[in-house]
Amino acid sequence: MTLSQKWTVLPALALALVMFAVPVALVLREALFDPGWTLVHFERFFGRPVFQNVFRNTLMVAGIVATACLLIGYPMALYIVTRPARWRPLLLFLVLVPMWMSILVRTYAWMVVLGREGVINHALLALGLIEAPLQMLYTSGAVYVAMVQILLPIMVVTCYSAMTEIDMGLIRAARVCGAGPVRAFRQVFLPLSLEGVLTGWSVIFILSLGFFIVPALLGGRRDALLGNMIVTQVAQTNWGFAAAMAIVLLAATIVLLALVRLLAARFIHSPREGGV
Amino acid sequence: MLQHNAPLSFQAVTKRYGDASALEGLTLDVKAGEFLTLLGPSGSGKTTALNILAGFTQASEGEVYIDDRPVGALPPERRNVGMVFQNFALFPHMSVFDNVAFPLRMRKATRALTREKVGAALETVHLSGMADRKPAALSGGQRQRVALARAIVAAPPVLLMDECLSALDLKLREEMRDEIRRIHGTLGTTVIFVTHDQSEALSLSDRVALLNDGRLCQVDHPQAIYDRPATRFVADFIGRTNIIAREAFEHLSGQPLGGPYASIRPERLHFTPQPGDIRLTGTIEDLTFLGASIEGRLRLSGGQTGGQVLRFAVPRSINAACPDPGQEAVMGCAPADIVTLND
Repeated sequence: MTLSQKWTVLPALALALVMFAVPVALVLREALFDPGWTLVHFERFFGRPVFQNVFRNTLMVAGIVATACLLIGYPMALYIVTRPARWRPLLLFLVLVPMWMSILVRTYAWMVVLGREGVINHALLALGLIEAPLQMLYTSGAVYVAMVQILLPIMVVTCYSAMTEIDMGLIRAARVCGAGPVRAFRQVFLPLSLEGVLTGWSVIFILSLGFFIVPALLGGRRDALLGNMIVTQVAQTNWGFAAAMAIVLLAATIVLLALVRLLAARFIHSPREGGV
Repeated sequence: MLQHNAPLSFQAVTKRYGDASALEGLTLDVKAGEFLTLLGPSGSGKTTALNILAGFTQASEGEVYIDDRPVGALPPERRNVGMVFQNFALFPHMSVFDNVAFPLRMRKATRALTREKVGAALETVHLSGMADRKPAALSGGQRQRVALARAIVAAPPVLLMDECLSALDLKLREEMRDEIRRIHGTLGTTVIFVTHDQSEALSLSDRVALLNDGRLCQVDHPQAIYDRPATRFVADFIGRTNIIAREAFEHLSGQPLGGPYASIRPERLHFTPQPGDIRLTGTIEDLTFLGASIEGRLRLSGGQTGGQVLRFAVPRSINAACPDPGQEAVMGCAPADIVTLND
């Protein structure tokens, strides 16, 4: 890297510093100084099973939501990428339309759909399939459904852009070599798309960790995520404890994603290596 | 069923997209072990023909036979052909060994047989020692060799090559051309080679099939196609030539012409007209000295032909000096060197 090239990365570095490093440092200070040096907030977090349960639950929900998005989003992206080129922009557009609405609006919409007097219960009652309204709102299921619906477009777009990098000529080559469509997909397309899959999964996982509106409005008491805990603590002006929880969440996220990346590096290949 | 006794046969194969036809009634028998080139400019239908043959595209009409079996209804994986792609299409996540082993694994070969055949194929393309590398770690020429090895490893009766030299630079291209010729000689496989490059076609092929606008113009041995082009397009596309319309030709030579055009190759014109030769009078323009030969143009003078320019390329001779530019000159051409062209 020449000197002038070094200077050109400065704005990006400055931005990262101001937008990420400084806030994290401030949060860290909040967690460790109250007002003097103390580990009391971390001791409180790790000392009480209730917080650890919420913490574990948060990681699990994020993992399940990310995986569900993957299982639904990957086939959607595959479908779009295999359509004729002129249809693809329209299909992608349709996938992205829900993102024009705020998460809050979409969450309220799910309340309308899933509630006791909601659309689904009305329809099922009218059809005579059930006799009493089903309890759907304020359950874990409602939280999962809404989070997946909110985050799915991100997964579809991430997978789609990874898939467009794959040379479809490779599929033809596999076919001529004697692979049927299924084997050509399994042996060539799937391995080359895994990098995008992993990126999508990681992004959804991280975004899920910070959700608090959806569990607050659609979930029951047991569905609270760490985000809800932090909101509660902030509301009670327990800044130090809220900061400590945020730091634990951030650290856990970094460790988990590093592990995922490390594992992936052994098995996953970029579609950009090779070629002409 | 038709019996052609050919490893490969196109029977009236047509491909239409709406009103436009990409390929129009291609009928062509390929002999066993033959190296046949589909040559043509882009949009001539050569790639369409190859795609129909490989099973990537369905023919609108007609049928392709491989070993006397109609294959139109078969997917690509059941046609048992080998193919080298324009960009090589190596699987980037697999080693050289796994790339070459792929067709064998798809055919459920045993591990021992796979190892043996991959070894032999890599040896054929002189890449033994490279089995563990990834395609990204190979040079362009090496990738081309891996692609070749993958195409031949399962010993398919027909080997398809789609513009497979065009991604290489000139020096490598010439090297790989010799390599392909050598491998064809060793294996004796029937090869269908698609290219727009006439020098590749002329130097490699047993026969060249020249396509234009979706139609087959002429199929013949390289020398025959050069010496006896059937149509104006063929004469123009293969090598360089002078095309003279019938009226002008008959005026010049005083002889009738059996078709709408006459073709005279530049190297068939000379400055020492013999009795019986057709004589062409004009002014010399634009002489270029090329060492072994001299190239230039002769602007015909007089009457109906006035203004037409003929290219010539004469061997340089110490004794017979070439006239200077601007000078009047008479050039001769033997009647046997004049080819009658159809439209």
